[in-house]
Amino acid sequence: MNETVVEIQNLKTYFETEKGFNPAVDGVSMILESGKIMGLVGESGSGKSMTAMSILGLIPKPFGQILPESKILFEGDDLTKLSEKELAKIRGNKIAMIFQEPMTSLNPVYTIGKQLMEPLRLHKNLSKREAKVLALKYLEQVRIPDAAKRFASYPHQLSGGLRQRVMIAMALTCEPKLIIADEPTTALDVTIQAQILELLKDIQVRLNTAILFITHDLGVVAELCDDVCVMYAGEVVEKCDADRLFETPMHPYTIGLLKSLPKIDDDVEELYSIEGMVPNLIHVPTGCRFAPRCDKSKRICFDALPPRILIDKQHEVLCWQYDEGAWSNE
Amino acid sequence: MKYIIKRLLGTIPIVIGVSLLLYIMLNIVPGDPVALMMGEHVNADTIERVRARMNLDDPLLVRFSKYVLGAFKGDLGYSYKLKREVSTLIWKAFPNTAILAVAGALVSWMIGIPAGVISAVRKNTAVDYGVMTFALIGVSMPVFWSGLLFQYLFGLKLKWLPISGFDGLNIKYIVMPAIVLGWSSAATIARLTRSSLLEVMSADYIRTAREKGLLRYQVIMGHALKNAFLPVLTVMTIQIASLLSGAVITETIFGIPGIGRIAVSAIQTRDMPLLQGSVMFTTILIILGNLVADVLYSFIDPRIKYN
Repeated sequence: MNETVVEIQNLKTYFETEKGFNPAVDGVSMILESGKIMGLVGESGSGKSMTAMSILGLIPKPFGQILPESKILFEGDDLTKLSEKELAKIRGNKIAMIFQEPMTSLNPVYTIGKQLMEPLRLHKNLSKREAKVLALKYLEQVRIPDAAKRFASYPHQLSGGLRQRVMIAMALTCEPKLIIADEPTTALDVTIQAQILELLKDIQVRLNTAILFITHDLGVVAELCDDVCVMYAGEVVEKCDADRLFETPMHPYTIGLLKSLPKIDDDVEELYSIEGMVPNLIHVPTGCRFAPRCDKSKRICFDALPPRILIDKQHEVLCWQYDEGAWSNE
Repeated sequence: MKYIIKRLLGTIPIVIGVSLLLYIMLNIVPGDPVALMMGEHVNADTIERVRARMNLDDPLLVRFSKYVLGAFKGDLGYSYKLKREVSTLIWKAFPNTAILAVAGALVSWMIGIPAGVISAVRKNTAVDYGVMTFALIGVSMPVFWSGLLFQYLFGLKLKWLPISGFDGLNIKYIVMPAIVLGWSSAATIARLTRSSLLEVMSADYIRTAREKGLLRYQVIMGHALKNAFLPVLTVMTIQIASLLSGAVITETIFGIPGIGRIAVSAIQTRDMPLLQGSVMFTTILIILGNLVADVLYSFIDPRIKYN
């Protein structure tokens, strides 16, 4: 039932800045399966969005580049090696994306309908009439009331929640194999957030699509995702089943993140927060990137790169703690 | 429609205000118009008589109200020097100015908009720098200088075009002044198009368009240009309004009998009614130009709706 849709192997996306190379994404690997929602969690600047943009080949060139050893396998092709034209055929067609800012992600000078029909006309070669029928169908599927009327509306005439539904409908039009949702609920208020999440869940079940859900909100992950990758400073530091993450988190960073979530039955003055900031990656530390902020760190953490440890088939963590030999020798 | 009528009515106080200011300023300027009109060999009695007949002895505000009432009926007064109705003079000169203005504007759009788009698309490349240098030259060269250069090169040396003069729609006489006039504003339009397009290209909806699978040029043509065009349109309409009110220097250099020439000669001869008339004409054109810009806006950008 769950087939591999996209396999990312050792993805490295580096940015050239005035001060030097910045490894925004540094050796990320993951498998995205049909009918499953993969959560990608991390702070701002941890490389979540850049991972997504790398899949679609939308890294701003020439400052950003995907290093040659990276592989993003999709339907037998390596997306990192495809030409712009070949990539354009996949974008919005087989892999679609939903963005964080529904207020500004639609073109203000065109109607919703025109923008919805665009991918259909582009990828499926449909006539205007055929495209309209399908576009209306998807507007109804994302539960936009009065779809026929909305079809002729301009983006500014719609609320943020409705616009995000339009974005989702637009992502669905070509029945993609993978939908990348980059913090699609962050800019919306809480009740609308819940509706959008429910809608995504529904789509994934009904259409058996793979979804890569990028968020910094662990609450959303708990509600929606099947699997989770926790990213820190360009690396996936922990990867496991979503339930496992909340029951037995292993990486100190994940533990910190979970600790910083407010709990309804706790009566604390101040919420827990992880000390320090995401490091500036222009000077990549020799050891573990989280070590300076970690309350468990030992000397080895600063001296050498931590190993990727497979706790079992479903749980992977990047931390010296779980290398028993090395850890006890310290 | 209602909005347009409302705006038109709203311009009336502006026009009256501008004309009052102008009227006062022109009356402060030293020199007696009658003495100017009649020449040196006239006795004081005659001057007094003519002054009375022209109502010049009335208080300023009384004269001004008479002037405004007359202007509403299309009577802009009588030129002291040219001894003709001001309105007639303006209407005779306007077609010439209009031909030059339209030709100049077309030149500037045809050069400016593509140049701006090209340099935005090829940002920070040799093409971009080349186009922008060309634009910079256009901005920096004053019309009176580039006009003379063109006359020297194409008129005198190469003998391709007549040096000056004007003959209605005869294209031979229009080409050179239109290019001289167009180049200087082409540069402004090119720079504005470039910066506007670059700004739009970093918008979220452009990213969305790319994500849909459109290629870069399709995104620019289909999604970016229409949005980037708004500020350019404003400049274009104001530009054409000011061109219609007379390209003073270009008209003078190329000997085109237009509004600009009228204004210059009115200043030189202290012909107050004529000067007043031509400045009023300019004022109204600029106001109308702004109105047209606002209306065109609402056609391009659905977010702008006037009620």
